[in-house]
This record gives sequence, structure tokens and C-alpha cells, in this order.
Amino acid sequence: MLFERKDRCVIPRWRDFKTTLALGELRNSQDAEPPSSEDQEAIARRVEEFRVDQDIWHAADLLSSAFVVGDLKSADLARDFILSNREVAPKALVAFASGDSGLPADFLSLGEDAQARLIHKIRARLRSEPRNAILWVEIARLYTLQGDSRRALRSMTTAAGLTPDSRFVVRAAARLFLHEHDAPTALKVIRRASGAKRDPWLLAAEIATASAAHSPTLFAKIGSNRNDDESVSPFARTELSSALGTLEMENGRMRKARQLFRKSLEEPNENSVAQVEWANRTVGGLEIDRELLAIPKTFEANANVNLRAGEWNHAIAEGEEWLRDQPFSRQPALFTSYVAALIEDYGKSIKILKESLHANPDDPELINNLAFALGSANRLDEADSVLKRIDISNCEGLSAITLAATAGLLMFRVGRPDRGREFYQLAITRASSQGISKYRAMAILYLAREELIASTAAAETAVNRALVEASKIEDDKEVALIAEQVRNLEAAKKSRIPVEQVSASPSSRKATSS
Amino acid sequence: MTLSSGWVVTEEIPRLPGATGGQFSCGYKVQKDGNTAFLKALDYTKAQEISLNTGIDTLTALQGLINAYQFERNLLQDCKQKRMDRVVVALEDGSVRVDEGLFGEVNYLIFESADGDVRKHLSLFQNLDVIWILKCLHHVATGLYQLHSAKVAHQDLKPSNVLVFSSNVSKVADLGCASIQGTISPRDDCEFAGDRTYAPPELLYRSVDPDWRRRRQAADVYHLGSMVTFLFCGTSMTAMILANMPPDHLYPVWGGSYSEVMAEIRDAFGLAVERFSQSVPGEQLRRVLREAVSQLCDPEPSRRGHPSNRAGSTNPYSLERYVSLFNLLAQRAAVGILERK
Repeated sequence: MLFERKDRCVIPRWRDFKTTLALGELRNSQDAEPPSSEDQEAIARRVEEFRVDQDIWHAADLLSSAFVVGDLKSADLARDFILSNREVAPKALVAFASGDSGLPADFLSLGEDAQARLIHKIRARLRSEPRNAILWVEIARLYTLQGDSRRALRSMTTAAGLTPDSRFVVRAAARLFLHEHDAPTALKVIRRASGAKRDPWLLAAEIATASAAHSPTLFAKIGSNRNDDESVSPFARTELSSALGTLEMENGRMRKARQLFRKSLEEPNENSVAQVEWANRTVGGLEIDRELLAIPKTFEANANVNLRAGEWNHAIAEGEEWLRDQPFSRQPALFTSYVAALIEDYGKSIKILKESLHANPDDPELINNLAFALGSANRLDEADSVLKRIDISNCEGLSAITLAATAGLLMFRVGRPDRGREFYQLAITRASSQGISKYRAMAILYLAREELIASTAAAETAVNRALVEASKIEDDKEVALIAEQVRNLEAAKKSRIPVEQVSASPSSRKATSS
Repeated sequence: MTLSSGWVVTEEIPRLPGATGGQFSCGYKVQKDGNTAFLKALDYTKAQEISLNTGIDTLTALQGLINAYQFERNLLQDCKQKRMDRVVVALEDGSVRVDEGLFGEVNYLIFESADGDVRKHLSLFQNLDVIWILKCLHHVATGLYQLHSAKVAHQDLKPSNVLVFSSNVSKVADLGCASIQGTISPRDDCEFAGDRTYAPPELLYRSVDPDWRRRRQAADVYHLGSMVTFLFCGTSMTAMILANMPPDHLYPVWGGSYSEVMAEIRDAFGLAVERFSQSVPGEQLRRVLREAVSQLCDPEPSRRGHPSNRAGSTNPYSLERYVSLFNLLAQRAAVGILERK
């Protein structure tokens, strides 16, 4: 199984419009402009006209005018009159005066339906509002969830063409193009926005997207100046500080990186908290206060914190929330399925991975993890056909390690321990050569587990070796958990308890018996 | 007092306490041969008030008042000469000496007397009179079309500037904020020449297009659409758009540009159009007016107006098609072939 992230960038999150708005990430505020003397004169005139002609239409005129310039007192004067005389007022005016949208609830509720119905509703609105970029972004998101990348890209391209300067549209477009492995287009969309060199949210997106694509950023210098600009609120620059910190970290300037990450935590959003949580594993010295883990939607950071603490069920719960928040993203699916598989809840792991593969159909890491979970649950035919979807020649790094280990697992389960051992050995060698001792230990532990389940002659030696390897990895709850599972399995073997009844966690019994 | 042309000043129309804007703050009823008319007199003393409120010197303020009077008088004469029958034009202009001294001579304009504006007229009915509304829209569209044909943008169309006459004819009134293409008009320096409470969204968000048509005629086109929404649902389009905007994105607190807020404006506009269309009686009328309002009030000035105009070499803001449309709808409604329930 795989979930570790070697690289993490503060790529913009892509949520529905209302949620993004509620999180304050679309704000671009300035001090409120007071009504001008001309506005005040216009309202005063309308108030007097209304006093002379106290009827619905003078009240309506006053209400519209006062509402536009934000003169609440005058608006209330008109509003009270309209609501007291509602029987002679147009229905739409009464609705406006009472603060009601005047539209049927079904027309407005874009967030509560099943995807297919939601797509149908948005398409219906787009027929009469073809230039509504927000609707195009919403439908692109739904198509992405359905794995229909052609329609998703087409919709997003339309949105970005209609409002190339909108922060919401540009950030969502960058996220989608990156999801579709098209970083050049993602960068193009960001860089052509009129606010790209000024808006801290777009500067952050440019730097992070360039980082993720391993291409040079064009706006690091401008971003750095903007990050030092005290007129920008700490919340508006949180992702910018974080993106710049990541850049410094990539360039090996850890002290500067730490300073920038600390700055990003002055008033963070969940993305920058997650970034600091991740970066801290490399740069160290960055403490995340518990209160930061309570800010809205901090699922990723909380999931990781719980995983490190060995709080498996909490980690899964946070992982599931993270997945609900970013349903098209592969990372929450990899994370949650990994933790579920760690505690041997293969059923949950399989379900999460299968759903995520709709939005990420050819993702080798998701496929590998699914094959592992299926194999561990003894669903071997399915596991075999899933694994065949991976193009092995393209796998490198961590994927190459886990892929070899998964192949080893399947070989053991189909009764070919010799081949299984070879694959596990390959995984161990690859982990050693990459210097990843944790993955090496995990491969050795899983090899021991398979030797035990297959009751081979090499089982005892493999277990002893595995437990020694595991003991070398200090303070890693995941390795410790697998080691415990191996120990339990060995004890059960000795006591002749059926393998299916042995587990380090209660949830695994259900999963393995299904 | 009797003017040299025979008009007798009969009554002063009290100045409303809030009515401090505009250069003509004195209004009178005048009569001649049994006809009643309305006289607007230029109040020179207003220069001092302007000077106090704005900080400019009295002489400059006075010069501004005189320029504004001359501009409106000349424009009204031009409109009269061009026989603009859906624009309230001056019956007469002139001056009369009322006192000794430098400011003793008062310049005035006399207009035909209306029954009231659309607000007053609409209050006479218990329910929406669709035929009357459509006729009114036809007349207003015609008035703006006549002005546009003379390269004039009205810039201040709102319910109080649509006057209704006893013959059931509606006319566009008050050219004080108008602009003439190719000439310098008194209000050209203002960010928005007309009443900001009815301004199109781009002007509220301080997006000022240097192109005369896109800035000024496009505003008229928007105002016509906003008049449609006011007549059917009692709310201006600007108020409906703003009601659907996220509070952080309202123009008084928005720190970005208009193009940066366009996605939110478009979304709010879509909801506003839907809200408007639901207040229009009858499926057929609803469909046609929804389309017309969507075109007339498009938040992007460059996309405002009839799409066929943009395809050709004609003025993209030509209102000719809407004049025909409202006329057709009014006639259909009058003969009962337009569903009105």
C-alpha cells in the first residue's frame, strides 16, 4: 500500500462555489465606500417623493434606490410600507422587500442532489445562462467526479474563457488542469488573469502549480514582494507564504522556509495548515497549535496528525471527511484506503479506491492499492485483473516498491511462494536503494505475513527478520501496527487458531471474512 | 407674472426638501389659452450652495450652471427640431427680469405638463395593466431610440423620468445628464452622469469604458431593461443583481476590478433574470421579455443589446428592434392574442 507524499504543494482546493465563498477565499475587500453626497441627495429626494405620494410604486422606487446605495434606514421605510400593503404590491416586490429570493427552493439548491440530477439542473440553467462561468465550473466538477474528463475539461475551458480574471474560476481551472496532468495549461490560465501579478491567491496558485509541475515559476519575486506587503491581510497571503516556503524548502533553504511557513500560520486556511503539517516532517521546528486543527475543513492535517499518533479510527474518519471535501482528489482516497488497509478493513479500503478510480481512472497508485486490498481480502481474480491495468514500465520511486510488493502478495495467495518471495525481495531491494527504511521494513513485514499465511518452511525465519527490521524503525506507529499483526498471526499459528480470526484490529475480521 | 410669450405664472411648485440636486431647483405652473405647462427656472443662487458643498469657487459653480442650462436648452431645441415625439421637449425657452441687479434676469424652460410619472400612473391600478406597461415600454424605447439617432445618450432613465400624459402617451424626460457624441457635455467628467441608484453594474464597480457608445449608450440600453423589470416587478435590475451578490463582493467593499467580479455578477444576474421572468404573466410574454431583459441588461456593456446588431455593421446599441418588439407585444396584448395570465 502507498500513500506517502514526497512532494506536496499548496495547489488551490476546488470546492463548490458556495463553500469556497463561505471559507472567505474569494474575498477582495477594501474599506467600505460611504454613499456619496449625490447618492444621499438622490435618496433624500426619493424619500420626500414617497412622503408626498405614499403608494406602492414610490415605495418600490425608494426601496430599489436605497438598497443599491446601502441606505438601510430608507430601505426599511419603504420595506415596511410595501409589506403592510402587500395585497396591492407585485409579488416579486413583496418577495424582494421580505428578503426572499422569490425563486423556488428547487431552483437554488444546487448542493443537495445526487450528481446526475445536479448535472441535469445545472445544464437546464446553463441553457438560459450560457455565460455563467460559475455554473460551468460547478458542472466541470461534477463531470470530474464521474470520470468524464472530456466534458469536464470542455466545461472548464468555457468557464475560463468567459471570466479569465475571476479568482474562483482561475483557481478551479488550474486545479482541474493539474488533475488532468496538463500543468502548462494550468499555468497559462493563471498567468493570463489580469490579477495574476497582484492577487496573493493567484500568485500562490502560480508558484504552487509551477512547483507541482517541476517547472520554473515566473512570479516568485513578485510573490515575495507581495508577501511582505503589510496591506495584504494575513489570511489573503496564507497560501502565498506557504507556496514560497515550499519553494525555499525545495531549494534547501530550510531556515527561510520555516520563517515563511510560520508566517503562513498567522491566519491560515486548511490548505496552508496541511502544508505546514506535511513540511514539518522534513524541516521540523514547526509546531501546529491544536486550535489551528479546528479551523474549517482541516481534514487533511487532522487525518495525518491522527495517523502519526496511531489513532487509526480518527484518521479514517478525518480521511473520509477530506475525501468528501475533495472527492475527485486521489490523495484523500490513497490516505483513507491506506489506513483502512492498515487495520485490515479491506472492505472499506476497496470501496474508497473503487470510487476514486471513477475520477482517476488510470492512477497507478490507486490501482496498486486496490490490488493489495483485494489480494489481502483473497479476492484474487479481481486483484489480478486490476493489477494488469498498471503500466509497469512507467512506475518508479515509491510506486515501484509497492507494486513489486503487491505482486509478491498475489503470488503468495495464488500458491506460488517462490515467485512471491522474488517480488518481495525486489520491493525490499528497491526500498533499500532509495533509502526508504520504512517501506523496506513494511515489505519485510508483509513478506513474513504471507509466509505465515502460506505456512511455508521459511515463515519462522522471515518473522524473526521482520521483527528485527521493525524494531529498527523507531516511533512509527504504522510499522509497529503491522509488526503486531505479524506477531499475532505467528502466535495464532502456533496455537492453531484459524488465520481468519487473527488480527490486530477488530474491524479486520469482518473484512477478511467478506 | 406674465411672460413675454403670454404664459402666466400661476403657482410655485414647492421644492422638496431633499431636492437639492440639479441646476433647476425652482418650478412653477404656467398657463396660456387654457393650457397648463411646467416652467423650470435657473436658480443662480444655487452657485453659492454648490460652492459651499463642493469647495469650488462660486464663479466656477456659476459658470457650470450656465453651461448646463445652455447645454440642455440647445439640446431640447435640437430634439424639438428633430420632432422627437417620445421625448419631453421644451415648448419654449427664454428669460424674464424679476428683479434689479446682476441676477435679476432668470432663464427658464417651459415643458408641457404631464399627469405624473410612471410611478403615479401605476398606482392607479390594483393589478398590473400589461397592455399599458407594454405601450409605455414601446414609447420609452422609442424616446431613447430617437435620442440615440441624434447621437445623444440620455444616461438617467429611471421611473421618475418617464412622464405620462393625458393621452396615455409616455415620454422620456430630463436631459440634464445627457451626453452628445463628439461634443463636451456638462456631466462628461462624472464617473456616472445619471442617478447612481439606477446605474448599471459596471459603473458601480468603477469600470469606465473610454468608448462613448459602450459607456453612455450602453447605459441607456441597460436602463431600458431595468425599466422593464421595474414595471413588472417593482424593482430595478441593479437592486436585483446586488440582492443576489455575496456581501463580500458588493461594490462598496470590492477591492478588485469589474472583470474580477464578473463571474459573481453573472451568477447574480442569472438569478435576477429568473426572478423577473417569474413575475411576468403568461408563458409567451415571459419567454420574450426574459430574452429581451437578458440582452438589454447584460452585465458586460460590450455584449449588451440585440445580438443581431453585434453581428452587423449597425450600432450595436440600436434600440430599433426593441421598439418593434414592444410595439408588437403591446398590439398583440391589446387585441387579446397574447396570453396575459
